[in-house]
Amino acid sequence: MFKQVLYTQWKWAQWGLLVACVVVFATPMLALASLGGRDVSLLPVDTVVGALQGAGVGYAVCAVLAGMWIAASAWSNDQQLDYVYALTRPVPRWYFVMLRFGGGTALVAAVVAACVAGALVGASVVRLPATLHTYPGALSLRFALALFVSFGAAFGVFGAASKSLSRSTAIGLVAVLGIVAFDVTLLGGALSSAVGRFLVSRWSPIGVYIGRWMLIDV
Amino acid sequence: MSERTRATRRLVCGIAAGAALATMATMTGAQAPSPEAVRLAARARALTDTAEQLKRTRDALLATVRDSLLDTIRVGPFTLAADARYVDLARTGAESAWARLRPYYGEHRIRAATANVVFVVRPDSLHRLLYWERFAHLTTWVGGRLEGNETWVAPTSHGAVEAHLGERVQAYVNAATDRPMRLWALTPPANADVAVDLFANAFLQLQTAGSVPARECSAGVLPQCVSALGLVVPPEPIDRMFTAAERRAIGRRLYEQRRDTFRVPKDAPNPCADDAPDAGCERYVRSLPPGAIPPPMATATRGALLLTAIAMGGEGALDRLLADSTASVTSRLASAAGVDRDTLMARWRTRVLAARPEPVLPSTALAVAAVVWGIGLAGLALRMARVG
Repeated sequence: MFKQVLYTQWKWAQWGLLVACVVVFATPMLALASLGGRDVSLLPVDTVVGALQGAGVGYAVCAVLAGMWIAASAWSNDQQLDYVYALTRPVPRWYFVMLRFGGGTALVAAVVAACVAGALVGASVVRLPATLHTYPGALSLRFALALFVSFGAAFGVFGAASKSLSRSTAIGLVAVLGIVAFDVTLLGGALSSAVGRFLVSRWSPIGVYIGRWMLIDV
Repeated sequence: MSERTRATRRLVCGIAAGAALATMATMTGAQAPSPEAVRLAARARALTDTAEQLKRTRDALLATVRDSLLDTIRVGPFTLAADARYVDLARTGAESAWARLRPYYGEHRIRAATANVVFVVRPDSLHRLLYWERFAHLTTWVGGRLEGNETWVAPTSHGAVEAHLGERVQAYVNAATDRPMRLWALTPPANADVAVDLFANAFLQLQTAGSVPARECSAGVLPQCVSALGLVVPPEPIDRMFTAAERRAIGRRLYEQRRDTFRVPKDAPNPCADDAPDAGCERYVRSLPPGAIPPPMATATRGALLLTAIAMGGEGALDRLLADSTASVTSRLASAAGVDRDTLMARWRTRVLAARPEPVLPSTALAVAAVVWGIGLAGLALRMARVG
């Protein structure tokens, strides 16, 4: 059954997935091209590092978009058909969700594989100043984690999409706005500051996006 | 009088009256306005009205601007003029700036930099209005009739006010700094965020500088830091600064740069190309004019050393740094820091190495958190239902 679920998810997601794979694979080469070629040993170190930081932003954006695409593809047909297909499967609901999640994770792995391949190719062809090094493994790991988080978040939101969730989301938003207003007016923004500090910490859901997405670094 | 005479007199009078009437009619006809004149007159009246209306509007706006500039704030040597709604913001920014800048630049220097200056905290739109008014009339308006030596600060945040005041003082200090010191490095701003970036860049420079003394400095040989930072007079010979491979790399890079600048033919071979003979490359590198070879560590590392010296020296550090323009930069830095040269270098090196950026490899905690968040958020899908 997993094979069938994976196959259908692949069918639904294939075009966006292929685009994501191509973009992620090509990003290191595009960054090197922006520096004038694969020999960057003549360039000042900060120029090289700056260009690779720009590519790092591209990786982060790709991770967000690819994760959302894979998750949305996994659920869009079910949503359109009001989950009839899902409810008619001879398996418990949680099991079906797990199958969908597993299928999505497999597709995530495909994009990660493209990232690994692109980073390895980029790292193998570039000619660097002696003081810089390549980090294809570290970059790929960060990309994989970020892609997994964005996929998980989108999978949860799209999978749970229903009127009750919309209602809950609306209530949640109103509550958040109320808390922010209370905090700003009465607590001087202390709560917001604490939340902000948490969000940029390593334990937050966006912590993995904040950091150094560097294929080439000191 | 005969009947004939009376008739003649009546005829003459009639002719005269007719001629007079004809003349009057002719004159009246000559002064009647043409349609074009009527149209132009109407247009002139309309333009006059519009001009009057615009003048009244401008006067009203300027009156509003002048009347709304209510408060003058004095914090230390700073004088700020702010709209009522920006008073708190302006005061907080000025107080922060005063607390931060005073130990760094010294009170007398800040007073000199901001003497007779009014920092106007207002939105840009009002700034533009007053600018054009001043341009048109060559007069200056600030809050009633203040003098014209004002500078405008956008009231985006108290941090913006603080930064603006700091920039003003920094510009003054750098302009007043003697040439040898200015050539070595400009005084960095007294700003914590800038300092963080500066030390992070200094780390990058220290770790990536392709130079013998820079590498040894990084490894902890403090006297080499002095060479790497360009504090040795006269500068170290190129053989001691760079290895043969580094000289080749420098020569190759500089030749390519000069190929564009000095119109060297594009097909001319680079004397320091990989396959070029060593002798030719060495000859080329040594023929370069003084100053063409960039110092191994420049802006960020030097700025970081200046900041370190001033931070170590505390109050009056900048005074000591700028006191004797004839002394060497090294001794001036040591004097500012209040310690000997090697202690200063050691402290600088420690701070620069501590500014190492976060490693590229995600930490275990980050990886665990990401996986947990990914699975946890995906778990929302277990609520999947055709509810509603």
